[in-house]
Order: sequence, then C-alpha cells, then structure tokens
Amino acid sequence: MSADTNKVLIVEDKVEIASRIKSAVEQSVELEVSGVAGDIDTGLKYLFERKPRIVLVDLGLPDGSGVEIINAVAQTDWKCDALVISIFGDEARVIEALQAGAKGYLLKSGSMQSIGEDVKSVIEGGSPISPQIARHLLEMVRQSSTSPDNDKVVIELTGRETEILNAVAKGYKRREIGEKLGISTGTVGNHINNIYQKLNVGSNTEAIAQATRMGIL
Amino acid sequence: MQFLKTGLFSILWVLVLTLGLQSLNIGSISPIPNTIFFETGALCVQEDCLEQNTVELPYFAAPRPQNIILSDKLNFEFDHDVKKRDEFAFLFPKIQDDIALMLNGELLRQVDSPQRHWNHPHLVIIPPALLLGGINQLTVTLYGPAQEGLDLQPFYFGPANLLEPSYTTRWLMLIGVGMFTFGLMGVLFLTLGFVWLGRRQDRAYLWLSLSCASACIFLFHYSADTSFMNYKFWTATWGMSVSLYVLFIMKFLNRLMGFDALPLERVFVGFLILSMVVMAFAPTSHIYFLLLVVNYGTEFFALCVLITFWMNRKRVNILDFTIFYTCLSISAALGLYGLVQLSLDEPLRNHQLFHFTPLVMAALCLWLIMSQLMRNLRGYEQLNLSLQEKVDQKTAELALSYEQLAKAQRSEAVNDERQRIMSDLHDGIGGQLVNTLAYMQNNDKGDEVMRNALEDALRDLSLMLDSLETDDSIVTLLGMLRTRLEALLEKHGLQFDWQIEDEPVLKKPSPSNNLHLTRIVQEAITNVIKHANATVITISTDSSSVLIKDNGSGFKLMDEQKSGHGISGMKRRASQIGAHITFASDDNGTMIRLDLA
Repeated sequence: MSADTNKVLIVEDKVEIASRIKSAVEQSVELEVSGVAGDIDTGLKYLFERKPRIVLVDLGLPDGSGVEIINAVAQTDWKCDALVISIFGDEARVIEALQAGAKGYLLKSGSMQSIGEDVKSVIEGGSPISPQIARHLLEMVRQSSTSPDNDKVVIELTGRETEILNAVAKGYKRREIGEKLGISTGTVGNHINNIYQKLNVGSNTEAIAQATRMGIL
Repeated sequence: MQFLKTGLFSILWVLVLTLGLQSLNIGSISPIPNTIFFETGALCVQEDCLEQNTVELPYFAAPRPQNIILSDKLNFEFDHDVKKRDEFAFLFPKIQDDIALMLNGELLRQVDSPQRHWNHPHLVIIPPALLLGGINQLTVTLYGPAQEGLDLQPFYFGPANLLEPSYTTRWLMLIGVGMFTFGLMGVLFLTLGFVWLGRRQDRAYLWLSLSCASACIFLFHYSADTSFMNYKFWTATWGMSVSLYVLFIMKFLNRLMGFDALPLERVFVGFLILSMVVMAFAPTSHIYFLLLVVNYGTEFFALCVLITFWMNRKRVNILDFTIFYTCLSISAALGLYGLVQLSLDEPLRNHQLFHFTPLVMAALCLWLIMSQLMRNLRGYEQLNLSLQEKVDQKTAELALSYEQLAKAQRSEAVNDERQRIMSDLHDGIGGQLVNTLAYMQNNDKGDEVMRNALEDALRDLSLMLDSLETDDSIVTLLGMLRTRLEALLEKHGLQFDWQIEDEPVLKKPSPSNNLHLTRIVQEAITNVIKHANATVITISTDSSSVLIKDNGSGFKLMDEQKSGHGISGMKRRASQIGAHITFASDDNGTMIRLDLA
C-alpha cells in the first residue's frame, strides 16, 4: 500500500453488486478496497479495524439501516467520509443519510464505471450532488427566508451560489456550469462545497434534522 | 355660563310661546245672536239675600286657605217671550265647581253635595212650565272648595238649538279631548308596559309607559268628577302626577337620546320626594297652594330638560331636534299657561289647555321611537349586509382552507404511498435488477441484448421514480434523466448539448403528465442512440416548448413509422399532455419539437 493510496470500505449485502463495485473501485490505482462487509456488524468491525478513508454504504442491510454506519463514520477520529450507494437516489433515504453525515450519494444503477472517479472527487473535497438534491436545497433556502419565525435556520446564499444550484437542478454538469459562468470546474465544486457547508449538510446534522421537522426536507 | 345663556334663551322662548297661547284667547266667551248673554248679576251678601251687590261676570271668589266648601248666591233677571215655542236652556261655559239653579222660585238644578265640575260646561234644559212671560228671576248658587275659589263666567239663556253647538264645541275641546287622551294614555301605558316586559334591558319603554300612567291620573282630574275622593288625597295625587309625568318623560328622553343627565334627574327626584312628604303632612287647607308650588318647581325642571336638550343638540339629527324641541317647548308653554290660570285669583283665560300636553308629548315620543326604529332597521340592514359579506368571505376562506387541507391530505397520502412503492422497488425489483446486471458484468455472462434489456428496465424504473420525486419541476426531471443516461451516452460515443433554460409549462401539470413529457424525451434520445449515428444530442427548453435535436444521419418519416421507432408512442403521449409534436429529419439530423401552449 503506497502512501497516497486511499482505503475504501464497501458495505453491501448483495454479493454480486458488492463484487461489481469492488472491481469498479479498483479500476483506479489510487484506490484500494480494504474490505467488503455484508451487514452492519461486520461493517462497523472493519471500519474500526481498517480505518478506511471512504466508506460506501448501502442503506438496506439485512441487520438494519446503513445510517448506523454513517453515524459511526461521522464520529471517527481519523479523516473518513461516507457515501451512500443507492440504486435510484431516492430522496427520503438520501436525506436521512445526509442527516447522519454522508457526503453525498452515488448511483449504482447502470455501469458503475464512474464510481472510482466519484470516490476520488470526494477525497479531493467535492460533494456529489444531483439535480433533485439541488432543487431541494433551493427549496430549503426559499422556505427559510419566507418563514421568519424559524430564525434558527436562516440560510443565505450568494447570487453565484444560487446560480450554480439552479444550474445543477436543471441537469448541468460542473464543467458546463464553469464554462457558462467563465470559472473553472474546481471553482464550481468549491461553490457547491460552500453551499453544503452553509446548509450544514453533512457537518451539522442538527440543522438538517430541524429542517426535516420543519417539513422543508 | 353656557348653561345660563341656553337657560335664558329657553325660558324666553317658552314665555313667548305662553304669551302666544294667551293671545290666541282660546275659549273666549262672547254673545251668541238671538240669545240672552248674562254679564251682570246681583251677589247676595248674606244667605237670605236681603243685601245684594251688583257684580260683573266673570265673578270670582278668591281662594282662601280653609278646608270648607264655599258657596255664593247670585241673582239674575231676564225678559222672556212665552210665545216662542222653542225648547229653552241655560248654557254655562265655565263654572267652578258646581251650581244649583232656581228659576222663578222653582228648583231647576239641585246640588246635594257639590261635584267637581270645574272644567265642564253645562247646558241646562228648562222645562217650559218654569218660564214666565216677561221678567224671570234666576238664582245661581256656586259651590266649590275654598282652597280653589269660585268662578262664574258669563252665561247664556236662549233656544237650546242655538246654544248646543257652542256647548258641544266647548265640551269636546275640554272633556272630549281629556277623555280621549285619557283612553289613549291608558292604551299606551299597557302597550309600552308590555314592550318593556318583553325587553327589560331597555328601560326607555318602562319610563314612557309610566309617564302615560301618570298622564292618566291628571287627565282624569281634567275630564271627570272627582268629588267622590278625599279632597286632600286627590289634590296631592293629581298634582304629583303632573310632576311624575315630567320626571318619566325626562328619564325616557335621557335613555333614548343617551344624554348624561343623571344629576338633574336625581335633584328632581329629591324635589319630588320632599314635595310628597310636605304634602302628606300639610293641612288640607293649604294643599292646593302646595300643589301650585310643586308644579311651578316641576315647570322649572321641564325647562331644564329643554336646556339639556339644546346643549346636546349636536348628538341628534336636525329633523329629530326640530320636532323634539318644538314639541317640548310647546308642552312647557302649555304647562306654564295652565299653571298661570290655576294660580291667579282672577284667571285671564277660562279655557284649560294642559290636557293637550300628553297628546303633544305622545306624538313626539312616538316620532322618536319610530325614528330610532328606522335608524335601527337601517343599522340592522347594514349589519346584516356586512355580516353577509363577512360570512361570504369566511366561507370562501373556509372553502379554500378545506381545499388546501384536502390537497395536503392527498399529497400526504400520495407521498406515503410513493415512499412505500419506492422502498419496495428499491429493495425488491430494483435490487434484483442491479444484482443480476452486476452478476452478468462480473462473470461476463449473458448476451448484449439481455443486458441492454435489463438496463432499459432499470432506467425506466428510475425515470418513474424520478417523476414521482420531482413532480413539480420538468427541468429537474430532465436533469435526472440526463444523470441516468449519461453513462449510456458515453458508451455510444454521444454527448449532450444541454440547453435547458426555462421551466416548460404544461397545460395540466401533474406527475403523470411530467412523466409523459420525460418519456417522450427519453424515447427520442433512445432513438438517437440506436439509429442516428450522431455524436451530439441537443436538448433545449423554454416555457412553451421542448426541443430534441441530433447531428445524425436522419431518417425518412414514413419508413421510420413503419419500423416503429416509437413515433406513434410519442404522438400518443404528446396528445395526452395536450402538446403538439412535430418531426423534421434530413441528412444533417433529426429535430423533434414539442409545443406545449
């Protein structure tokens, strides 16, 4: 294991899918699969034994919800990010996972060829975001500004950030957004990270829990 | 200062009215043609009439504080022609209180115990046998309580048919009106009393009812013989009834007009209680004098009502004020006029008018009640109108909130069901599809057709779920479609030229119509992937259209329809969402345009 190799833990109960993900991740030389767990117990055991940099979690596990793993990841004393691997990216589950501290989610439908790239972008500090999630974040901002009685969650986005979030919601890729706005793809990524930060997605579970109670999410 | 000025004005005004009444000289007694008019007589100094003094009529015996019945005898002479065949009579327009008549030594009218006919005219028919040819002797004996004095106004002798009209007129004006008003007040007392019983919170009607009852008492004194009652009791009673009448009217007006005149009322009540106590203990001989004093006091309070009203005139509309002030001041003048006649030893006028006061006041009170009733009705109608408006508004709000509630409930139910289906699809069929696909990829098993079919099924499922998740935004739905298809496009060497701008607006937006639209786009993209040999697919939107364009080799419309490139499916879906779809294809590619408006 070289110094710049990142360990990836996969928690997925369906053997074939787990195996497919493993091979997709291993396509990238910078990534190394340090374990494949089929349930929560094994997943938690591997997490603390092997201290991976990234944990890919399926939410529907035989002994419970993958959110338990995500909760554990959020409290590790080493740098570790959790990503949900989802077939459809269904909103309720993803939001639940984001509440628990997940960095985002990856679709496992289709070829799964891009999984390695997505994992690397997270390691580099990116946050995968889908048009649907972007729309929901915009809705959250709108609601927080129109309900003055809930002053605890006042979310203010800059014009640029709103512009980017709007473009993401319309299906534009980071590269395209960068070209349209005359900025680099990385800058777009930074903006999206900032938005995540402002919305406390992934870092402040309480805000999201509150937003969920408010009916925003 | 203001009170004094207003008071002075009101007093002057009432004085002017009183003088006006005086100058009208109502009920003046003057000769009637073809009748004998007696203006002079001989007053007997003693009962035996040995000594007589000539007196002019009207003859007054001044009141004196003694509890006795006074009687004065007067002799008259007149000439008569017996050849005249008419029925003859004497007409006494006004005497006080009763008279006995002797004609030529024969008794014509007997008085056993004198009656109280102080306000009545008398027409005495003479039996023909009593009349002599030539000089006739008439002896008139007046009876009445000493406290009030005696009064004999000029009188007539003549044919009864000539005297009757004058008698009738006077009787109607005095006794007729008195009786009529007495009856009217009785009816109003009962009616208003019942009105008050029906709505006790409104005391105005109680006071008006009681004022009518009080009026009944003094009207009885003005129109009937009251000699059957104890003199002191009755004099105090009718005297106080006038005062109570004014008090109740004052209370009624204050309630009805909303004046704050409680202090004045209290002073008046205090005055009346004091008067009653004094009268109860006063000797009978002085009772009439006290009555006059109390009624002058009452007149003063009546003037105060007038002044109060004047000072509150801004709170009443001009029509009400005019009618009210006129009636009230006329009543005050009638009262003053009556009082002056009663209290003078030799009254200037012989015709009482005070019994008209209740009529004037009844007219005024009925007017005020009517006017307030009209105002209340108008207010009620306005209130009704505004209530109706409010009800309409609230009904609309309620309907809206019901609608919103139903919508929220529906959307919650839909959401719950959606979540359930989603979980089922995710863990069930979705998981199976992905697992199978992964198995095929891992082990390189299964042919391309099968794999594509499974991937198509998975994408279709994803699309369905996306349309449920993002039911309010077509651009986000298209964005999700892109996310799902990106890998497939890459595999076929294709790229999106993404030109999604404005949110397209469907005629009837709904999740299922959004899905139809997305399916049309998906179908178009699938066609490009399968048949077009293109490198770029352009997807663009504005608010009224969606455009799918490729740079492939194009296709012939007729051929393609036959070979089933889903064009008929796209047309069917387009018509379902009320959109118009057009196809254009040439060597440089194909363009499918959806017009939504």
